[in-house]
Amino acid sequence: MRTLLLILAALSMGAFQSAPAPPAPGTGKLIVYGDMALFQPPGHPENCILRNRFKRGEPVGWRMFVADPSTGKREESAQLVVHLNVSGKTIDIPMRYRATAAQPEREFWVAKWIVPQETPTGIIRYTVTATDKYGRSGEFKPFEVQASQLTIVE
Amino acid sequence: MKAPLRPTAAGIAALAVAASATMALHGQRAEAPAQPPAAQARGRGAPPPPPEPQAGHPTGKLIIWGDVASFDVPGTLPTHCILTNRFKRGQRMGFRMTAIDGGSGETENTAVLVAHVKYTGSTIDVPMRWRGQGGFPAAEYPRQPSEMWTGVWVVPADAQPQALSYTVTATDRFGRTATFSPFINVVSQIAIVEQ
Repeated sequence: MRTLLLILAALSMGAFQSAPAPPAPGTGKLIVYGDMALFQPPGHPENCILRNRFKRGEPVGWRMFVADPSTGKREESAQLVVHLNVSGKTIDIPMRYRATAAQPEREFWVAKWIVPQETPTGIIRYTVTATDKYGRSGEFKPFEVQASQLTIVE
Repeated sequence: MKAPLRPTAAGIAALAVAASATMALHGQRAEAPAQPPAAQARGRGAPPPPPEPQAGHPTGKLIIWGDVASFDVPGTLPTHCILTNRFKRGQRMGFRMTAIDGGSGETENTAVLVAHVKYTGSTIDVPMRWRGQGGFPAAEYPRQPSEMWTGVWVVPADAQPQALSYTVTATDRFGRTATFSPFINVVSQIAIVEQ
């Protein structure tokens, strides 16, 4: 009985504390984040290691997650696109949701781009955008550090 | 006669812990508020005072994310700040994170972040530093990295090749907490390698 009263009292006090007010469902910006990796075929010893420097012909991989801003949980309805700026042209690469019935734990989106042979060396800027069924959107930009950008090397 | 029942601090704390839900999802999960890390000497003098709260904060969840990179020094080294998850003995493993006020989508600059590296059966806490204060070379940072926190762990000279794991936790001045875990792929986890 004493324990129950303690719990009720604590809950009552908690009601008067200034808890953060979450935005209404379906409002706010989606939080998009992830990383970049070498997307060699499964079984390759370097498949999925983190990289930002790639040679021509190598597969650049993106792995992204989309969080609902009010819950922090994955927004299942999100659709993501990687936008690459290569030599002044924008290449859009739709991402696909990676989890399957066999691998349900892979709750992220992936995209792959094989660096074309004619790609000049240097930094390639990219962003990733997401939209969901509520009309919300979000954008990912990598940390603004020169050495960490997607870079094509010889 | 029994003393009147009053909610004790311990009782409330226990209730808060019991009531905190853990969400099973990538990257973020709510947990009981973590203690801010003790100030540690980093060779950079006294840490600056915490920033003032931003207008409109807090709304929504505190969300953190980031990556790992080589923090080799000096900054002129070709491997400085490149993304990698494989590190050699003596190499500087760098954690780069950001903290977002979910409702506004803005950086939550009151967040205190700590990386936790699991190494040889123990957990090494790596305090992270907010990079929104102080000057940074424009050649390396095209703009002030005000959204970034960084922390460094130097791989011990006697470390054996192995896979490690890490998480990053955050607490902000509003009492919100968050935990980040990297994507689950085994080969993407941080690892100590021979070459």
